[in-house]
Amino acid sequence: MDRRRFLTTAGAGAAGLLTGCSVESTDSGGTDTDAAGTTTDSGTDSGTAEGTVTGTASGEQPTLRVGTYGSFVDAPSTSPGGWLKEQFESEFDATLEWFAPDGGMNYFLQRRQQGVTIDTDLYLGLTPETLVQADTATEGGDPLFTSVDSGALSNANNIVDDYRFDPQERAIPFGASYISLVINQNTLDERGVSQPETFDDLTTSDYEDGLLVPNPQNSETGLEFMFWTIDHFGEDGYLDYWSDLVANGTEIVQDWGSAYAAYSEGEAPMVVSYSTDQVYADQSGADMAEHQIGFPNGEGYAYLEGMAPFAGTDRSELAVEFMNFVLRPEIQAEIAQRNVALPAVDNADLPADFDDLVYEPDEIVNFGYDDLLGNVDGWLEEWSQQIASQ
Amino acid sequence: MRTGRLVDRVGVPLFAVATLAILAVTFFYPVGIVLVEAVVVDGRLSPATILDIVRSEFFFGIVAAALDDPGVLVDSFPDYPLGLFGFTAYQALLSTIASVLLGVPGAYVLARFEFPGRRTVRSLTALPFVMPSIMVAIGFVATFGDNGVLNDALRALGLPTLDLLYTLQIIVLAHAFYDAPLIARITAAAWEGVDASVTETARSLGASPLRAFRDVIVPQLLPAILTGALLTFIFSFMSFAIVLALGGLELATVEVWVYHRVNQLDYATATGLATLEMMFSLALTYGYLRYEARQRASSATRPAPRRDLFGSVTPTRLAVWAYCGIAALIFVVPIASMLLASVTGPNGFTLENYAFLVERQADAYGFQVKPLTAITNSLVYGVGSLAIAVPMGVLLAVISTREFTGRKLVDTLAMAPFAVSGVVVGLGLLRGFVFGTEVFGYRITIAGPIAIIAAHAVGAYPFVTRNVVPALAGIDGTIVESARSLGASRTRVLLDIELPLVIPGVLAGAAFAFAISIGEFDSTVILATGGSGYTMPVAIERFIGRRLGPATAMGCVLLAVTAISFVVIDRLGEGRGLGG
Amino acid sequence: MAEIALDGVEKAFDDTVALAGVTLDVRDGEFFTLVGPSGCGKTTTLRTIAGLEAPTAGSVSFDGVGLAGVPTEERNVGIVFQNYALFPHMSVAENVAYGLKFADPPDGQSVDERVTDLLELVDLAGMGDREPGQLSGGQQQRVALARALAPAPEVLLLDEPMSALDARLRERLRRQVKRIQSDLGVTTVYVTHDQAEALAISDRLAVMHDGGVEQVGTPREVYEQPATEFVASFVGENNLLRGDVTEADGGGDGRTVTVSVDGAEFSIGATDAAVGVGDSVTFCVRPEALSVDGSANRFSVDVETAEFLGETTRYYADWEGRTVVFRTPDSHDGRQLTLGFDPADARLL
Repeated sequence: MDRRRFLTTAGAGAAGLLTGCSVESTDSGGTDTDAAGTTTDSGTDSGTAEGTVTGTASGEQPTLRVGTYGSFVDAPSTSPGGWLKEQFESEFDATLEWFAPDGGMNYFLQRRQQGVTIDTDLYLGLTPETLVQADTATEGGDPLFTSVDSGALSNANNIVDDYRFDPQERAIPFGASYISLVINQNTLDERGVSQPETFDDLTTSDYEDGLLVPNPQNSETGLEFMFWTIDHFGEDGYLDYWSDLVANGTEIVQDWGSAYAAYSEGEAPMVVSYSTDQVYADQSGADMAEHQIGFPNGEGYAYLEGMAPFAGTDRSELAVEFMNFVLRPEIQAEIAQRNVALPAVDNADLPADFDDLVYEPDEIVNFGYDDLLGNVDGWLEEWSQQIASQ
Repeated sequence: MRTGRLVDRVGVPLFAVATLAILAVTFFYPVGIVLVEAVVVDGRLSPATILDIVRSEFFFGIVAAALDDPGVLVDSFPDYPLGLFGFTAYQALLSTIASVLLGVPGAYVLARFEFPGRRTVRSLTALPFVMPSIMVAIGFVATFGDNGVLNDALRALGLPTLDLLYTLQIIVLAHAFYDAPLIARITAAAWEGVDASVTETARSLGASPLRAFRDVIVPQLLPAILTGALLTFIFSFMSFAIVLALGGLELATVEVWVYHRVNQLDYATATGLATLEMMFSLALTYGYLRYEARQRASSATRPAPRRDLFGSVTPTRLAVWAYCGIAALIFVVPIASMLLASVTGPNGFTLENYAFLVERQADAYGFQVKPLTAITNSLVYGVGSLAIAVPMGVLLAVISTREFTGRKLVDTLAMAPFAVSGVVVGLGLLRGFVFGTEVFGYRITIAGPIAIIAAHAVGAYPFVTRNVVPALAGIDGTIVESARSLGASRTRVLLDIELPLVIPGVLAGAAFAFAISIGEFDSTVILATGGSGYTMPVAIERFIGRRLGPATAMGCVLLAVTAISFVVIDRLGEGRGLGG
Repeated sequence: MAEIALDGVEKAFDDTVALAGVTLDVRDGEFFTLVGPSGCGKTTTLRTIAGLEAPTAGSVSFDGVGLAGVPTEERNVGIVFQNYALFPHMSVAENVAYGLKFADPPDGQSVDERVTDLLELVDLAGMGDREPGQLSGGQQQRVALARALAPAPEVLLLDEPMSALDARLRERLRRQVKRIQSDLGVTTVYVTHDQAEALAISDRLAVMHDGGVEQVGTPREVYEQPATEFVASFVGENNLLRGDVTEADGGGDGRTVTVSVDGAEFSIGATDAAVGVGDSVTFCVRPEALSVDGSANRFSVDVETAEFLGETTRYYADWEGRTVVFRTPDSHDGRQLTLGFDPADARLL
């Protein structure tokens, strides 16, 4: 190979490969660059997902970097992220930058633990347990999130009270859903049984090999189902219940995706999922009999979502504006439909047939912040050890 | 030529230093900063974390109980609780046996029979390796689930159905899906190197074909089979995602726990477990390497001619066809199911999933995952990691075949990337690279393409090494000595004589290394976070939703891209070196 | 072209002693053979000269220059191995040309010219494009020879290069190698276990046994005046008999000594050492020196086996429980024969 040509090509290639690397003096006061890589193909981006949060020079548009979970911005079906960004940017003189790290909350916690700046302004998608996790991890030090003066949020008093979960009022609810059973009535008909009414039903022979549960270690859905059983059976009784469940053929599968996929293939007639399932089923024209919603004992576990600014952000004002924006009735209505969930406020204008497909339980079960603080790790450990030993 | 001689003198040592430097930076350092937490408690060296784990019955079952009270060994005989480690080792052992049982007959067919498309089939043996676990899970559910292909067929034949999902059997089968083709390929290469005259001699002495096989051929295949078996065991031992996807939490392995503990930010337990895993795997590797050293493979002077796969019906052919049927069920049907799932919607045949990919590519926001970017990235990283892994792997193979004290130790350490938990590597890369390291008052962060390529290369080079070492060792010493007598320095001999002769081994290793890079997920997802450096497996995971369609469509794209790459790589090697 | 000198070379592998002190010298341009049974150390000696093994004691030198620490690639030697060791991935011409990457062809020739010359020398003209796998054993051996000679080495080393060939081919190639060697005048060390071959082609040879040199000399010297029992029995065929001296007169060369073997008395003429009456000695008589119905030293044998060799017949006969070998062109069908030999043909060892 021609040595000279090789060297020039190699040089150019090396330069391209080194994007994403940086050497910074640790004495520099400003924010470190959170370097992430680019490739040769940038395509037609209508926004970038990398780069620095720089200080505002006069005249430059400020950027609000919002962390969230993957399916809020990038689900194959629908996600509100893109729309929300467009709406926000059309109204405010700012750029909204979504950031959905694969590790979720852990991504930020790890950075905090290692003393690296978080470089994000707000997190959208907090649940009671992730908030507890964040607070437990930062115990003794500065908390990860900060609170907002609720007077600044105009629609805040219309937030459904049951949906509030942070006693320190850092996390402001923006949406909710319900954990429930999703049931394939056709399969149950073949067995000659009807839908289970209670938790205990799930351990009977009628529903043998009947249930798929996403692993609480990896999945919020499964975790909240576990909390649900602790609420129902108490801390002393839930382990026995699970023992019976597993003995009856319940399978705890890797995550919600695998559980739902297996359910769709007919591995079991029931899966732990969301009460909004029929909305999707309707969109894809599926047989509704295979997407029945079940609330054992008439209960449903509330899956609450909130948003809070990161402590230490230098964009507090913009963050508040964004949160305010999200709480507006019309925005809440749109988010609810795109995220296939319920709005957090009670004055959102939902289309008339919205309620037809979204089911709410008679009784709402929910572990709040105080219930969870200090308990989650212990519960998970004793639960998982029992299951794995069985 | 002064420069020529300079290259001669410093070439290999410089290369060696560069390799060790890359290894140190991209592997030993990140892993080190994580695993150190297993032995440091409150700032001081302490075995407490590890001892706690070893004493825990949950992790070590009867061993832990016996440590407290040896009497338990007698009392609870023979119901020894395995503990998490015990179970992990047990399922790994079963997986290895299953993979060997499935893989060796496959090697037989590949090495000794002729059939149309043989070369392509051989190229594609690395394909299962690439498949992300979610794809394998989907394919297996579609094939072996209650309403899967197998059970539908059984029902149609009036036979009782099999309840395979969420059992130990399906996990073992899934591991065999990944690893049996690996064993088949490595063993087939060795089988093609068996000299016909050896078998013929045995036959002339009165041995039946089966006896001749057992007494004469098997010993020559044993090194290859054991290489495959060792790799399979370690993979299955460290297995995580597929176990959970198909087995459920009841059949958890150690790695499941490591992953979970890391998620809970309980690094002490996680690193303790990972350290014990690593010690076990390294010990196994060391033991194997001692065995490998005593074997001397030699190139065939005359391989036996192949037989046609299709022809008159003989007992052998019947058995082979039966095997092909089973292989088709286990390897082809799950992949075919995935292909089928990608073109199936709720209402039958549809191309909407692929349409989704095209639309997403065209309309996506910057923060969304785009298919073409994922494909390009995967290929770029694949080629990039080959560019690093192949020279590294070859160099380490060369070092491994030179005599010096502590050679086995260096060899074992060079195999370390196999033996260390993927979660730990990812965590180390996150802390060491993405968060940055402070050196002399500067914080250096490494992320993006170069970090990903380095991470892939480190995970891939052991494959190259393990394929090249037997080839190098099999080169006749007199050839090397002849070259030296003609005036070639050690480096020139390496470049002119030894390396050209091991090209088939290099290519075989390169194909697998490429597969590793394409299928890599744990480290990539960490290093590509937030950027546009994502790969096909990451994209697949992103596209998983209620409907499997988009994810399976992306999975099919992954398979197609990889299949083409393998065929290309393999064809590059045709006619080069010995025995193509 | 160089003189080779080995001085007290020892070589041990772990606990096996391969060479127990080898001292010999090879003259400039000489065809020198190391011959001996398997395991005697001849190949190890060759490899030590080549630099492929480093001696644990002693020294090797070319033209008086010590070679300790000099690697093989700098010793300017050419090697032909038993298995030819051709580079399988190179053509014949590329094989032959390989050494010319590290040394220019002599006499200002181009590489191609040199390769062509050498292929002609070994009677393989025009075969440059062939692959080693396409050649017969004899052809491969000649390519290996051409390859070794291409960079004009000072020393040519051949390690049993003919063992894999059939007898006819072996003889033909032997002559060819000898002719090439004497034409080029390159100092050559040849290793073989075939003593007949060694006798046929060497200028001088060394008989080796158990890591040591038993005798060095011209073929004739070694054949006619074996220095030890081993040499006597290894080189050529020989009849060895042990007995006691009954008469010995005087000292010095050429005196006759009478040795009694199982009561039979033999007159032994070729004696170098001083022996006295009552000493236990061994003497040897070559098969061709035994004649049927010979006049002196007569003894009776029972013929057991006959091997027709063409120009002569080899007979194995039994005498007092010992096997005696003799040769004669006449055919003897009889069982009992009387043999005899001239005392001058019997040698005391």
